[in-house]
Amino acid sequence: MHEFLKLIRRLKVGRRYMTLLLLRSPFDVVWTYMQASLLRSVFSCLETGSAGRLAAICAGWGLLCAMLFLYNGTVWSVYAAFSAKTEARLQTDMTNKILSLPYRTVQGRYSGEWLTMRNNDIQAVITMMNGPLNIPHWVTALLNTVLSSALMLRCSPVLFFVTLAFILPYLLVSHGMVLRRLPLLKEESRSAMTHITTYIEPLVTEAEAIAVYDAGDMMLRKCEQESRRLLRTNMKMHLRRGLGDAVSRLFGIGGYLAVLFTGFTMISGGTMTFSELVYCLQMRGAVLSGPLMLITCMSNIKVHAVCAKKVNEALEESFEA
Amino acid sequence: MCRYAIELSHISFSYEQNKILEDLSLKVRQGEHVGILGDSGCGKSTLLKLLAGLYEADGGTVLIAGKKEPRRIREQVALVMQQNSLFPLSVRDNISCGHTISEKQLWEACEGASIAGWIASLPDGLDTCVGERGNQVSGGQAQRIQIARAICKDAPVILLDEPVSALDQETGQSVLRALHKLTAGKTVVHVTHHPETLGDMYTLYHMEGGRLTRA
Repeated sequence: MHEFLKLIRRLKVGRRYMTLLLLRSPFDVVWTYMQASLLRSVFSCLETGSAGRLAAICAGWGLLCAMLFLYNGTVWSVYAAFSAKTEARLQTDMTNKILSLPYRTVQGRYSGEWLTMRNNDIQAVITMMNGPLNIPHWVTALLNTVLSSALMLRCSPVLFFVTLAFILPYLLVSHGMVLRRLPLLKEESRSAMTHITTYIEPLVTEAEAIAVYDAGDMMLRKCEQESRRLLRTNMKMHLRRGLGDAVSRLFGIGGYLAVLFTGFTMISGGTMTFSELVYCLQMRGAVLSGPLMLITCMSNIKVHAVCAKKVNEALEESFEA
Repeated sequence: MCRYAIELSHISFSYEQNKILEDLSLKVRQGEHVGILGDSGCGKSTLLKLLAGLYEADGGTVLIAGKKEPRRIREQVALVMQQNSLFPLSVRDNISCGHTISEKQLWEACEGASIAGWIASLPDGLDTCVGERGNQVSGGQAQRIQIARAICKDAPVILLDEPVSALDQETGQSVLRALHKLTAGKTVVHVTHHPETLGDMYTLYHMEGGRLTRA
């Protein structure tokens, strides 16, 4: 994250980016609250048999939905235009930087590395800025988690703590198994990609020597070795993400059953109504999905931050190097 | 065994509408050294690529050590080019080109190309990476690595395309000495526009307008 912030400060778009992020962030929490409130009100109307109030609630909810989605669509379109401009600016800056460097400095890195920085790394930075389950969703998930937790805590502290008892161990397991390992694996995968690009280039530029000395097999073997390294590393990354996903589902279903059982006990004891349980279950969804989204976003951000660091390094490349 | 190592009969070659070689014939005996002189753009390098089996002639026949197919022709030749043609791999890989070659043969090739001392002084020796397009080694060292590669191949026909023109005089002389060891007893075609780089034993031809004339 630090590398990303450094990069947007360099591009002098920090303030605009933060404003757009903040404008985008309330959508999920408002949407969760609207859904939970609708369910609570509908079930309350059904319990009391007030059909007139139910119709008014549905009409009001429909209107609010339309306004919310219109707001969200407007913010996203501004955000998308901003990201496209930033990407173009970053690519221009990177190209200008490479062109301004002394030949010796350019030669100091493999061309595959320059190409990876110019294309893949910048793309990763833009994905981090704009893509799904990256920074925008991280901010949204954070707000969603905090506000949903506060709303659930206000409705039923017992059910909130039951939910929490399943979320906290999940966060610890995810951090240890997934988050810490991903940046290292991404670094490895990036290095393999750089080597593949470097080994492919002579197949074109040194085609004559390769043909006369029958060196094609050697070059393809080198590419294959690096491709296998890339495949192995990507498989490890997928495995780690898969493990995180499996653990999240295990804790998610366990937590759901525990809330249902506690809610049933509370309704039986007369301390909670059915509509309140429905409201709490809806909020629990947000309390649970918030940290899950946070974890996924953080793992993606950590992976892409490796690329942001490389872009920063390239833009800071010393003329004396 | 063929009488001629190289036999070109009525060769023609064009790049699209641009005729480069026209009705060109040449016979080179086994072990003969041929120098082809001419200005830049006269078709010398194109001729060399035809001899190396990299291009196919539009008309006429190319026979190298009795072989006609480009793939078989390429097995019969070793090529040392003007520009650095190194791969972004180790010195070992650049010389062996991935073929099974003993350590002894590799060092003999390095001795022949006068780079054994330099390689021995490197911390990683033969496993030192030459960098992309050989940017971690000097021009002279890059040429010597190409010569060592050609020695390792031990092909009957050696093709040289301005191998020293990009080097300073002192380095060029020492690379020429290494080339002398490579070409001893082999059939050689050396294209250049610097006749002073050719020895007395060369049969000289002049190339102009896509045709060869005895100089």
